[in-house]
Amino acid sequence: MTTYMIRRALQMILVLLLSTIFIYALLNLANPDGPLSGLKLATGKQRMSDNDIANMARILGIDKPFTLRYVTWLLGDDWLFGPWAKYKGTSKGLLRGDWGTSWALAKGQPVIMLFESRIWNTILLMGTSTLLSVLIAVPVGVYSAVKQYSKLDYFVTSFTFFGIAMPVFWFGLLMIILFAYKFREWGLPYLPPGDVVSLRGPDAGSLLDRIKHLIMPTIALSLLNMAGWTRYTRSAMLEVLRQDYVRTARAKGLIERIVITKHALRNGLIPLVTIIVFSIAGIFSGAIMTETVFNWKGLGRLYYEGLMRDDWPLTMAYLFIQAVLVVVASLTIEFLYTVVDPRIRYS
Amino acid sequence: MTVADLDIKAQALRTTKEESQFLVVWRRFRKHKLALLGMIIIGLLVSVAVLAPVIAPHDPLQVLMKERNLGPTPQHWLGTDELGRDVLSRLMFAARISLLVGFSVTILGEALGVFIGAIAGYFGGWVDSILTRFLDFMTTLPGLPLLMVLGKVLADVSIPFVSRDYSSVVILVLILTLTGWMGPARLVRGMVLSLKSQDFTEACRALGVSDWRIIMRHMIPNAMAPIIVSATLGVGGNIVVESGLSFLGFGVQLPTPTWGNMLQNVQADMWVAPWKAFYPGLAIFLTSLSFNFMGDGLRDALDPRLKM
Repeated sequence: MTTYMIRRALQMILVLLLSTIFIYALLNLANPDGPLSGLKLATGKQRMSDNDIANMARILGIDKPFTLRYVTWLLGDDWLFGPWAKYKGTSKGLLRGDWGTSWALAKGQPVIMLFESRIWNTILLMGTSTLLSVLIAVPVGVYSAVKQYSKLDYFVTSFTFFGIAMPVFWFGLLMIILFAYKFREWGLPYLPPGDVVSLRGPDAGSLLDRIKHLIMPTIALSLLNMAGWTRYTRSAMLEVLRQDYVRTARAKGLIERIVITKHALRNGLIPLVTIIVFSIAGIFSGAIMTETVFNWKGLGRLYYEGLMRDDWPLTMAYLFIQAVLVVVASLTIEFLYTVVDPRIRYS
Repeated sequence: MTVADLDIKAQALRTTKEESQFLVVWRRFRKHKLALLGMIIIGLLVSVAVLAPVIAPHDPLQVLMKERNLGPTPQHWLGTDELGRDVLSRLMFAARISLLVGFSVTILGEALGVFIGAIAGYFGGWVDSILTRFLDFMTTLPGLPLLMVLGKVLADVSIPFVSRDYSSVVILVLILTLTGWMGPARLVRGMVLSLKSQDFTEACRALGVSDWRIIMRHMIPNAMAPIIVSATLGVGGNIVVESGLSFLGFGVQLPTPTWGNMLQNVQADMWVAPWKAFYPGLAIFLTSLSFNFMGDGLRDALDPRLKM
């Protein structure tokens, strides 16, 4: 078991390395000049001298040949020697905790600081939404499975269809129009159309203000999760309820509530572990749409803005962490499965 | 009694007409009212898309700065956008792009996935381990962020034989296809693995049927039911993904309209023209919902055991 997990971990590190090469090549070969491409296109008085552009390239570290760029991005350039000594700099590289400095979005700011300033907003949004989704999806899914073909079951099944088909950004836009603009027009209590917190006003920054801002993004983000997870729980429970051991439990005279909660639920929820672990891994990318629509200053929005402005160091660091999270999540799931289901053995 | 006699007897005994596979499926599918409704809506949308140049009341690209952000009027049933373009006409032309992207990504992605999955499952051994490793690798790539990067860096690439307005459509189709074949591949690989060990495959091999023919004539047709279901659900999913990317500005580029990029600028005019946000999104939602209903109906009709 231990050797298996170690082997998997090593494989995954290799996969990670490959995916960083892939992403790095993609960004840097498709647009090798990054933000400088705009400068090079400019003409007339707007045009910087070639010398200045070359200097800029050196400062940004994009004067190096591609392979060297990748290696220094990963391992830093403060150790370069011999023929590469002229590229020697002070960066420590991603693996040694130096994620570089932003090129465009917040010029000169370390990327890691940008991430630190945004991550709590994302955790707040994703956390609230995941919690809400699980708290609603699991009981509703279980109830819907236990009372299959009841009115409520039909209602729940139709709701999951709507939730799965709904484009998150449109749902968000509709909510903004209704609850932020129309409600205000009609003189009803309204919600703020976006942002994490108000900048002005009597209660700017208060807890109530923050909660008001959180409501709409959380609902938008939860809708899809809720629909998907309800459907998942329902079908997993239906599967389990057909099993012989559930019949045995009923046959030996246990009351229905115990049969469901003690016997069926335990096994029915195993697949849900996967979903929840992946949702935690999705903390970086799960909310890109929602954060963009609601101008929620989190990591997803940061990535969107960075990408729009050709901020490669920011984009690269983001994608790297995202890939690490997915890999860690899939390893965790493999491990968790052996814990929750002793029948699974890896060798 | 000869075989021919038996045959005549059997025909005499047969009281009801034999039903073709298609009719059986259709009879079961018809019972699913929502799936039927979904099919009708999709049929309507496809007709609107095909007939757009004929039935659209205005030129979808014509800019009229005097008629910016109008609400619904007799000339413009659904109003105009921030450049004075007719929203209804844009919706109709957008249907062409959105449906085209949805269908072509699904067909190409399913074909690629089925091909890779069938080869991996059928040949096993090192072929399978290489392909499965590759599949795992593709799965670890971050979905939406990666699509955004690809859309961004490939946005300006020009494609030979395709006009500039449509090159972003072709690029988007390629991107979505190359990142969307893993689901069907996994599905078909699993199916082929189980079909491979069954007696009829053994019989084919004993008769000297070539590997290629076994895959094409026996493996893939037997795995067709789940492929059709996943493809139907996939069209809806792909349309939502396309619209999301285009909404963010990393998909189909303006001025070519799609339902997604029509929503791109609505947030700026939320106060003055909130209605602009409604119809493009409704189109995406209805289409995606219809394909979901239809996929569900097909699942019930094609294979009752697949019931989820």
